[in-house]
Amino acid sequence: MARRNVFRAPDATEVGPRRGRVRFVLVMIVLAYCGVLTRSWYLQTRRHADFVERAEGQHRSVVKLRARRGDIVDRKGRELAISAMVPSVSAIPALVRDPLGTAATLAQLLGVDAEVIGKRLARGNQFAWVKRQVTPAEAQAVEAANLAGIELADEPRRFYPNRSIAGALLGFAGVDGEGLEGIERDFDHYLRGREYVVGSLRDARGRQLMTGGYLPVEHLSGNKLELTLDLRIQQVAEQALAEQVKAMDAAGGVVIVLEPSTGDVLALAQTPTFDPNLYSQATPDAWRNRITVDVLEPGSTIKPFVVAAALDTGKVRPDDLWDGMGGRIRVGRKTVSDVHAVSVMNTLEIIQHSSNVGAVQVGQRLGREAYYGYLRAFGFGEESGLGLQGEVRGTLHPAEKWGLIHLATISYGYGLTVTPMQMARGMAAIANGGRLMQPRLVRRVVDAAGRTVEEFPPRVVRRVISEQAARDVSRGLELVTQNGGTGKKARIPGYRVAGKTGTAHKVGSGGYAKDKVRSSWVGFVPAQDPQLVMYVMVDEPKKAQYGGAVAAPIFAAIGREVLPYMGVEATEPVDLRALAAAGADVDVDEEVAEGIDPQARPWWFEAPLGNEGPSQVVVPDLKGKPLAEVVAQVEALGVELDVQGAGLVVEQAPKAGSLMAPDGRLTVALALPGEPPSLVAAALDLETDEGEGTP
Amino acid sequence: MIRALQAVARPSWPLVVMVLGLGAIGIYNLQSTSTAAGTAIYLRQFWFLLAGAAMMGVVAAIDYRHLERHAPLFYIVMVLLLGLVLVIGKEVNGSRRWFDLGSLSFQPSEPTKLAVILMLASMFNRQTKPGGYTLRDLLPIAGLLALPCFLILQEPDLGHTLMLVFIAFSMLVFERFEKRTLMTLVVGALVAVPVAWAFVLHDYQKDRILTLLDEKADTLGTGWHANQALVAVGSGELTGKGHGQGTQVAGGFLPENHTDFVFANFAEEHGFIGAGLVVLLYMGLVVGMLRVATTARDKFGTHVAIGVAALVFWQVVMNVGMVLHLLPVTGVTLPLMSYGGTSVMTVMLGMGLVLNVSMRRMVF
Repeated sequence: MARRNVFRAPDATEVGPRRGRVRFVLVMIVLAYCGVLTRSWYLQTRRHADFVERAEGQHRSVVKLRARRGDIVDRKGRELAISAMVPSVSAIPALVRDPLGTAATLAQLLGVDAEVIGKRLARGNQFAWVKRQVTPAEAQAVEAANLAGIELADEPRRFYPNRSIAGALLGFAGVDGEGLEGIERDFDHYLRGREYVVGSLRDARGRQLMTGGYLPVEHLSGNKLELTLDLRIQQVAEQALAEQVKAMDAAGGVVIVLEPSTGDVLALAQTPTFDPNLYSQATPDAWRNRITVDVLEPGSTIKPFVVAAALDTGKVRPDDLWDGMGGRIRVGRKTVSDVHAVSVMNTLEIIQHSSNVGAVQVGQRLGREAYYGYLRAFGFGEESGLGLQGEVRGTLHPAEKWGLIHLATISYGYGLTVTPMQMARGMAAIANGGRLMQPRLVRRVVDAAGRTVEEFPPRVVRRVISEQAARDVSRGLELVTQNGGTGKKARIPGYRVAGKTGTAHKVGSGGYAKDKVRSSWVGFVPAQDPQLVMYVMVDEPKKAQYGGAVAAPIFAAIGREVLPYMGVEATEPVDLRALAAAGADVDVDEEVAEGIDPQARPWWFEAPLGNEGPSQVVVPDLKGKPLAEVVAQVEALGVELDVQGAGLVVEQAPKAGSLMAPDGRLTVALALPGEPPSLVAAALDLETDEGEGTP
Repeated sequence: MIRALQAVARPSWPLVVMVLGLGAIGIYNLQSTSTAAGTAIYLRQFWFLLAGAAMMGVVAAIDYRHLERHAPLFYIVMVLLLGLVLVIGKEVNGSRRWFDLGSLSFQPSEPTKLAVILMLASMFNRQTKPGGYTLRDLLPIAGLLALPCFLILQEPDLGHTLMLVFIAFSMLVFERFEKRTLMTLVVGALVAVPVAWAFVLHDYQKDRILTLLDEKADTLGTGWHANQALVAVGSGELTGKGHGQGTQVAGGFLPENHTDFVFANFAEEHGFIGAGLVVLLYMGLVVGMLRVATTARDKFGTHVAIGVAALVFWQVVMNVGMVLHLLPVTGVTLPLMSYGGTSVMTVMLGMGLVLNVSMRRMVF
């Protein structure tokens, strides 16, 4: 009872709190909440326009940017694709005092429509692009104009210092640093810089982000891709291919250069190609990577594989003799014939003469199941694992679907389709003692701090044939370049060459077209210790058709340049007269006059022993090269070097390919990548300083 | 009196409906921000709410007169926990307010509010001065309050300190004071403000108050939260942008959008209509609890109900006032709608106490 005492106020007769207090408190509560409601009403229905605009404004101001994209370099660290910082013009519309006048000035300076700029400035938000990735001259002009609210900031731009070299392979990246084609697209997940939001950073940190360039976002940068490609070999391959395609008036062509022991892709050349710096000017047809996407019937280049398979089973021995059958063999109701009839040949000579009649008989003895199994084992009908998107498998029907005639045609390369990469890879397996390697295009992925993110060691896929069988087939392939073979033009003075020619008719309307062929060569060198495997294909040559005449010379031209460059010792004496007598297409007089020495160091190290004698050196092409490389090359020449500027070489004197005294002075001008100098002509300008040239 | 109309001893169902309704709105609102927050926090909130409802039922079932006896124990445990959290608590943004329990965390200052309410109610219940409180009578009350306040200020957590003071103040409003005491208190309060400004408040806390005085003071620094909340609310207009359509959260402009600033998100997406409805629900809840206070059987029950009503009232006013830029940023959560297990369960426990009182008003 005592506890009720407190409520014994004059007006309080109840247990609870006094009514007056309660009423007072109730009023206060209602007033407080009404205050809140009123405030809410005021903000949301009276001042709302202001807030709606602010919400939208800052929402729009969220600009997504990408950190620097990783570089792509070749196996020696030479840059294939780099991201250079170039200026971009942006605006903070809120700070622009005179939008109309500013827009007009910018339009004049940058060549953009004034109305477009005006619209961007009128939005009243905190950030707008005016024009991205402008030229240094434009940037300078904007800087000089000193317009309020207009800013210049560097952002990364993709740049391909070698221009069209490896263009179709590299592909290209877009303005926001996203890979769109080729390696740039297919390895985008490594290369791509991480995305970050400027708007929220700017707002949350409270500072103007775009002034003075990017925030330090090194840790968001993409990774560097180290390819197995060798820029020099790529350059030589493209040059040789382009010349022959032009000489043969062909539609196009491809060259693959592999290192057999590792599966490393040293060069992937194709014609036509394009300059990824100017990708928008090329057609999507040129963007296509023909090496993995195009399929073709292999023709005679399949013959080493059927012979290899047959030798590996033991059903066929190298010295087995085969009846030439007067150049015609009946298979069912069809007749398969040879171009040149052979009376009798051993197994290896089937390859040498490229005899269809012989190949058909080998295939018949091998049997369709076994043959199919070997073709699959050689990698036909499966993706090569190169890592490029859209790679096709080709068509290889399962053995149970093969009729007699299929077994016969597939033995000489019709009735199945393959990709150039499959051919090169299969031949590399023969060169590699029967072990099939996974072709390797990327060696290593390195992050911005130089740490290895991922490494791709060479990988043996499987053993296809025994080492003995591989050696035997190699002997057959070597016969091809010897007297009586179809590929004498593949000879490289000083080296033993093995390979196989192929001439496959293209399918036109209503059957095989007589006049449209793909001429190919697939082979390796040196035959006794293969260092290079090459697949060469020329599409629709018009001046000649046989692979031995069209494709083999490209192989020889590339090999002549690349073998010394790779330090592969010549093992054979060079008997030019014997070569000539054997009918090789070599102009002996010219060769002798030029005094070619198979042991000679490659053209870019020193001058050929020409008329001028050793007192002159040939000026190397230095354009587009970083200073370190320039110094190394010029030192090898022994001349003195003058350097102006920094960055990559844009000009040089004397010109590349000209002769100069060894005690002369070579001047190079370097510049940062901004305005791409005309590198393409210079970089490909091999003719002038090559001297002996390609056949 | 209203008591006569409610002859049956059963819980006040309107209160239960309003509590669960606000909880449901809270989950619905969190669901819209969940994509921004990354994890499905609204699901976790649902489990917290469910656990809270169960605790509410249990607390409502035990006669609160038993609770009165255990009030000191509860109070001592909470004070010990407040001390402990300063030592082993998890540091977040420079404050130690949380115990880290793996996937869960526990904030002792939340249930401390209930402990203080029970403790004060039990003290008021024992005070029997017919002439009203003298200053000396207030001393133990002040001491009782000062201890947890001091500990919470060390975390530091100004919001919860203020909450304790406001709750105690609200409970005292229903008491009688000697005239002289009243005068002294008013003068004391006037003196305390500048003293607190100079010696108690941290710089960031002062900044928050200054921000309030000048809307444009520092829209990028201290005023960032407040300003972005204002933009969120204002851009919601009358009918809102629609569920999940708020750009302030999606754009990452509104920080703490699932805890302290949930109301901004709700107002942005559902406009004045939605925001008004929620405010009215809270008002109904407070008024309902106050009615329970007036019909309680004894003074302890009355004070418990007043204390819990004060807790909800002040927390809503401080939180919504902060979002609407009427009050400084104090980091007080919005009861039932802000994400957080301790916060939700504390409010539910308090509701259990009020329901308890409402159920036993006629038991004699």
